[in-house]
Formats: sequence, C-alpha cells, structure tokens
Amino acid sequence: MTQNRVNPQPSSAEINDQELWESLIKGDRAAFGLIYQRTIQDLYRFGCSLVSDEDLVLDSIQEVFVDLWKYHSHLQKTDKIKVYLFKCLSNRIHKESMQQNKRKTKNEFFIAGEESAIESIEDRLVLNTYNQGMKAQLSKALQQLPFRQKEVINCLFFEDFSYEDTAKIMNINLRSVYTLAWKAISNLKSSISIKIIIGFIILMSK
Amino acid sequence: MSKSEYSTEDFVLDPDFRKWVLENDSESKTYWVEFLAQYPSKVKEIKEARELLIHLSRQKVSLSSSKEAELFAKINQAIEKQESGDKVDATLMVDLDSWSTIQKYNLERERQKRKHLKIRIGVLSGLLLAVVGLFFLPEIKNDPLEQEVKVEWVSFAAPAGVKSSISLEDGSKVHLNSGSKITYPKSFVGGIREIRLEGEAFFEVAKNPEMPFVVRTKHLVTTALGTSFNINAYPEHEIAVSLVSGKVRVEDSQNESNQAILNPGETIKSDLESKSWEKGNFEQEDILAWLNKTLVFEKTSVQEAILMLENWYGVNFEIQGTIPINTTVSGKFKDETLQNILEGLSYSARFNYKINGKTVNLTFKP
Repeated sequence: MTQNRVNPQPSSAEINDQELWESLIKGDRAAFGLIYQRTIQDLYRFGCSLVSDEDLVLDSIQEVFVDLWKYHSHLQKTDKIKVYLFKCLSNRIHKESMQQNKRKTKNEFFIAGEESAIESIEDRLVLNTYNQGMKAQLSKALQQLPFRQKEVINCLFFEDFSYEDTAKIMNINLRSVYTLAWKAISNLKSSISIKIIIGFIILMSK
Repeated sequence: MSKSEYSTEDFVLDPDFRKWVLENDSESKTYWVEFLAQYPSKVKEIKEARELLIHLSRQKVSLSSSKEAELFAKINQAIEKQESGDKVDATLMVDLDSWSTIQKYNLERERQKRKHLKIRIGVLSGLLLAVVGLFFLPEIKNDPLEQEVKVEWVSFAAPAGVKSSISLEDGSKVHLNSGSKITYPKSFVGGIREIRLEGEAFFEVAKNPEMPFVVRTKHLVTTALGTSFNINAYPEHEIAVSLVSGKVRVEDSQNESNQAILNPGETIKSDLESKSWEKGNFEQEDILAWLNKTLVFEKTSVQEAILMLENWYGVNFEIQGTIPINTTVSGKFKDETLQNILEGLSYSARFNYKINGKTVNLTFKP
C-alpha cells in the first residue's frame, strides 16, 4: 500500500482486527497494548458521550481492559474489536451509573456556548453557514436524553455503526434499535421547536 | 413501510437519506430528487430532517496523551496485582511527569534503603555462617560457578506513542521512551544486575557497589555502580550512551580495544555496521528532552525525522514522491501536536501532509 515504507519493522497498521484479537486470545501482551492504543480515544469519547463524569468513564475503561486480559483465553473470535469493547464499556457504565445515581455528576465537559467544544456530524461538510446556536441547543438536548437514547444516537450518528452493530453493542434487537432511535430523534426534534418558540416569545416581549 | 409515509424521524434514520444530506452522494441524490418530485407533500418533513441531521452535535472530548499513558499504566498495575497477588513492587509503573511520581519514587528509595540495610545484615550473618562452616566442613566443594541459578526473565515495553517508567526491585528506575523494551531477571542474582535494552531509556541506578548494574544493547555493554545515564539504542541506528551523573564503563563486545570510562557530560556513540566508536560531549538538554516530552531535531535528516515521529506519536507514514536526501531539519517541539510539527517541518522539507487517524500521508514536492 505504501510506495516507500519508512518503518523497517512490521507495522502495526498491517495487523487487522481479527489477527490482533487472535494474538490476544493466545496471550500476547503486546497485542493487548496495541488494542488499547487503537481504541482508547474512541472508548473515552463514547464513554463521555454517555455520562458526564470523567472519573466514572476512566474507571470503567480500566475495568474493561483488566477484564479483557483476565479472560483473554476465553474470548470469542471477532473481527470487530471496537464493537466488542463498546459493548463492554456500555454495560459497565450503565451498571455503574445506576449504582452511583445518587452521586453528584460532575459536568466537566459541558462548556455552554463554546462552539469549539462541539463536534457536529456536519463538520464533514465544508459549508459552515449553519446556525451554531441550534447546534449548541441540540448537543445540550442530546446530553439530556435518557441513557439508552443517548447511546443509540451516539452509535448510529457519531460512531457510524450500522444498525446491526448498534444492536450488538446495546444488546437489543434490530427493531428495538430503530424504535429507540425514533424516540430519541423525536425528542431532539421537539427540543429545537421549543427553542424556536421560546426565542420568538423573548423577541416579542422585548 | 413505504417511504411515502415517512415521518421526519424516519427520514433522519434512513441511512441513504443521511448519505444524501451529509455526503452529497450522487446516487442518493438522484434518488431523493426524484422522490421529492414524486411526493412534493413530504418537503416539510425532509426539510426538518435535514435541519436535524446537519445540526446534530455533541460535546467534543479527547484524552490527553499523558492521561492515556497514565490509564494504561494503571491497567497494567491492576493486572499485575491480580496475577501476582501481593507482589506488586517489582513491576510498579508510574507516569512520567507528575509530582506524584516523584513522591512515589522518594518513598520507594526510602523503602529500598531499609531493605538494603536488612540485606547487609543478612549478608553479614550469611558470611559468618560460611566462615564457621569452612572450619567444620573443609572438604565440601565450594565453587560458586557451579551453582547454576535458573534466571527467569521478564520484559517491559513502552509501545510506540507511549512513554513509561518502571521501578526495578533494587530501587533503580528506568524511564522508557516510545517503542522501547527492557528485559530483566525477575529477581537479580549472581552479583550482577543485568538489563537488556532495545530502544531508548534513561536509567537512575540505585547505588550498590557490590552489584554492578549492566545494560546490554546490541553490541555495547554499559556497566554502572550507582549513577544516571541515557542510552539510545533503537534498531538500525547508532547507539549513544550519555552519562549524567556518577561513572560508567562502556565496552564494545565485538571489539575489545573499544573501551571507555565516561565522566558526567560525556557520551559514546558507536555503530556496529560502520564499526564507529566516538567519544564526545553532549547537550544534556537535548539528550534528555524526551523525558520532558520534548522532541528535538538537530540537523536531523528527513528520513530520520519521519522515523522519530512514527515512534513518538505511534503513527505510520505513507510516502509519495522522494524523500530529499540532503535536507536536514532542526527544531524543538515541547508537548506539541503532530499536526503542528508537520506544519512546521512542511516548509523546510517541502511536503504536503494529511493525517488520517493513525496514518499520515506525506507528499514530497518535486
């Protein structure tokens, strides 16, 4: 694939998910490290999109990896490491956040009104003429959705998982993924229409 | 359900609709333009779905590389703890630059001091017994060379893009640069502390004159008693041993006449292939910059710089065009992003770059 390889060692990018996973099952610690390296940012981002408690996310990721090593020899084969790890993380965070529901959540990530802190799926488009206020509003509305609705939107829209993979991660059937996503979109939709109305009222009262 | 009955939500959830709105995919475009012509009453839903899609946003977060390394160290620690039950000390890993590291290190040193004292008392009483024993059992063969001790070796590695440190059981500390590995005995026996190194590491050797600390790299053997020094021994690269404090002896295992004792500030550079052996002085700031998360290019060839970046950030470069041979780059980058460094180098080395996750495409201008 490369015209002029610089790296003399066998490069890690050449190992695919399936081979990497098989090495892990055989007990290759380097494969374990490589899996961490390849997935940590995705897991962190995904975890933070589900709960706004960084400590909880980091603790959960740690437990996922400790268990991954503990049970490495019993793992099923897979060619989608990310799907498997997302599922583990989602389970873990779901369980933990249920237990710690009383613990005050820290809103470390939410910086209201700061555009640079918001990642939009439209960022791929070069056009940038859209309403930033509406983006902030929608990202806030997403934050306030119930856990599972938040999860389904993140999987489908931000992580670009297929309906099938999302079903695996969330451990529900395809039909439920669709229903849940429909409800979530419906909630998001009403959040922006409310905003428009409120904006209108504020304008009128001035 | 036919698409003519779609609600706003259904449009948002239709993968093909998303392809049209977000990627402007031409095939999808044809389909949806036709669809609109056929069902003009759906224009309101489609407009609303499009608005939702392009404004859908979430908080942007990422884990800093130091936190990433810290978490990995914690994971390894937890695994070690689980696997070896109580014995955690030998493989303790800590992150590089935090105050807590220093604190931990100090504690470790205190503990080691106490341990050494205990060992000394142990050795003394052992000697006493041996001397007494010699008088009583003079005919017993006492050849230490014949006592074969089974040594169990363990490895510790910092993958590309990650730096980590490890405390050895004797209290010495090893800081590993990205893409480096040390192999050492599970416990030191036979009057020697022997370490094998691939890559680059900074050693802080706990003082123990009775037990020399020996680092083996490809063809160089560095012996220290209690000191701190840096060794750069990446594969296919000349080896450099640089002494910061104390005294070390460096020997070439391939050529007996190559031997040197280093004083602080001195460095030995040696290459196996070209059989070079050169003693000189080094800039401490540059040699140890990596400990401080600083990447230094000092008249570095472009080829070499690319290798260093691959290692430092754990990425792979794919090259288009030819790498200029006579161009060198210089610069210091402290805790910089890869993008900023590439931006800085792109002018002097004349290339365009594109970062796609863990792959970086470089196109050299003719």
